[in-house]
Amino acid sequence: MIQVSDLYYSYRKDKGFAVNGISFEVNEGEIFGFLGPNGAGKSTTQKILAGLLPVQKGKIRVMDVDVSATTPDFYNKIGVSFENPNLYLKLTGIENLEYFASMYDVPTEDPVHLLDMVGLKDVAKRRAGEYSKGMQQRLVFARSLINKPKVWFLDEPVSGLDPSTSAAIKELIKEKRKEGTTIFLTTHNMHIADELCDRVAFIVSGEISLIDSPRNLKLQHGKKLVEIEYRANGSLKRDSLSLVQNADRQKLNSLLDHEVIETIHSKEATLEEIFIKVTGEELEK
Amino acid sequence: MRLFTNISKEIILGWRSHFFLLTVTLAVAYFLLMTFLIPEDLSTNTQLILLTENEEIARAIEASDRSSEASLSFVSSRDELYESLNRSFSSIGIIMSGDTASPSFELIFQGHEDTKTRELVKLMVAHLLHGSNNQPISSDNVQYLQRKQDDGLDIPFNKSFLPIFLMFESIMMGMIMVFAMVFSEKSQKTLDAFAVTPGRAWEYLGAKVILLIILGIIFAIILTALAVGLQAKYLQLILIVSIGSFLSTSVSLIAASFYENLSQSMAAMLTLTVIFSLPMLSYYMEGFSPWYLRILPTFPIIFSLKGAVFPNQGSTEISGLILVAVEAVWAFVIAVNLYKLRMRRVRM
Ligand SMILES: Nc1ncnc2c1ncn2[C@@H]1O[C@H](COP(=O)(O)OP(=O)(O)O)[C@@H](O)[C@H]1O
Ligand SMILES: [Mg+2]
Repeated sequence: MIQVSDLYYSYRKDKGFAVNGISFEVNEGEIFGFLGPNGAGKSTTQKILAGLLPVQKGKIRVMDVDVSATTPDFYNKIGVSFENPNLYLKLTGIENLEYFASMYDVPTEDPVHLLDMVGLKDVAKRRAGEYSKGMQQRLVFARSLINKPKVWFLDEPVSGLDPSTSAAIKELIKEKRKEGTTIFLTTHNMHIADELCDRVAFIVSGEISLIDSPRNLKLQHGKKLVEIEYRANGSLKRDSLSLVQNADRQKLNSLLDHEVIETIHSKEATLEEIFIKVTGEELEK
Repeated sequence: MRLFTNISKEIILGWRSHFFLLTVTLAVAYFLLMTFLIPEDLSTNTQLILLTENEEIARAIEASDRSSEASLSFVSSRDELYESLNRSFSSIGIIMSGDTASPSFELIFQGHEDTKTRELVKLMVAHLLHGSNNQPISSDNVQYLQRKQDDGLDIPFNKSFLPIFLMFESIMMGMIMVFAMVFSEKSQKTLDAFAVTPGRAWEYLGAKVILLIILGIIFAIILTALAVGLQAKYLQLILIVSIGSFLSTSVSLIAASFYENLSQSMAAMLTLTVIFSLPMLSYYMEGFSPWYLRILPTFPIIFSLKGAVFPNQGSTEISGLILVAVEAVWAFVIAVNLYKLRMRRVRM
């Protein structure tokens, strides 16, 4: 659905690249995540993919359209949700959606239904300027669905939202994936990437260091440890044992045979730990 | 259809930004300014005070020039003359002596009159005297710098501002509102939201042009109706205002696209306003119409506005507007292309 090869982008004409030679492919119907800290170049990449920034160097095809020469019809098929709310603050929630809906040549979603999905039905008739930042963000998110897009770009879809709202948004994203929408999602939150993405790309300083599914990453990079708490000689003891090293395996066996086990957990590496191990950078700075 | 929803969006936004209220208020305010603050007649009405011993001359003068603009009054003594002169700052004394055959006169000025006025009074008195004689100065010999309109149909000084105000609104207010609209959208970053829809730049900008045309027409109709009533040619007025707003909106859209906020653009906005307002000079000094004023699109606009609101004065010819309309279309095309470029380069 999306093919990117050797993409570069500089905001300052060749002095420092915000996007520094990245290549990747997004398959039809998958959720592809861009995971990286702030300033990594995620939003810049999304803007180029959506045709909002020019293709300075590299090749991009989205739905077999060369993005450097998009036609209006291209925009009938994609949906773009922005990191920062960009709405007509003097229009109400519903007016914002109705206006943007009228721009499309394809059948659109019912604005009331969309507002309902993101929990804004009650404030549909209030001006977007009166919304909290989170509400505005949800309205932008809802707007990006208005034309039932085939390819959906989501820039930090749940950052800054409270847990229950963000859960609802995540459900919506999963639902759209089931319907066959191809989704490009950027985030600096490993939980989002882990929970939603079929594949993630780790991006730091405009460069991709790896692309894989969260499960594969965890299997490859996980330390395969067992954390065990047991009682010996009346006192509580704690140990962390490897499942691969022989000495540890023997110790584990003897503990299981001879001691009173209080708790036992297998410990996987988190995506964040893997991210730090692979890129040497932290996600939240 | 998209153009239509863009227009309705602009109208709602314009309404909520109080553009309509502002337009109506300004129209009424300009009318009040015109009616109560600007005098109907600027020329201070010079009063001539005449002292003459010769009854014959007095009678002859009285009979000779009824249509004279200056009012004439008679006194019978020098004391009375000085007293009258002291009472009215704009009066001029004339003392006549001699007889109808060989009259002579003495003029007493207040001292503040300029040479032009003095010469005019001399000429008038000579005219009075000779007029009663057999060899009048024919009015052909008097050259007026500005050809006088038919008497009685002269545009009162205050009403002569009407075309100026009409032009000013469609240029100045239009410009301010366009800049306000553009910068409000820039700060809300709605252009990139629009840029990822199939919406076309010309529909997006065309809607703004239409809103400003509507506002311009509302202003023009209210102010013109209050000022001159039914005498104006309204269809023509609407046409002129539409073309004028189209032009100024398009030019403003071009100018505004180069700036990020209102304060940065202030200088450009003022410069444009001043340049566009320059043809006012030609409007008030009819002989003064150098090429650099004539090439300004507002030049034909202001004169055709005059024709539309005062159909009895001046020409109602509006063919000069065809060129303005062409220029407006041109400016609009440039604006559309600038925005197309911008839409692919906006920041989120
Ligand atoms: N409009 C801009 N002008 C100049 N530099 C920018 C602009 N937008 C982003 N950048 C820079 O480009 C880099 C990548 O930014 P961005 O793509 O927004 O990162 P992310 O979305 O991953 O946080 C950063 O160093 C940022 O400072
Ligand atoms: Mg970002």
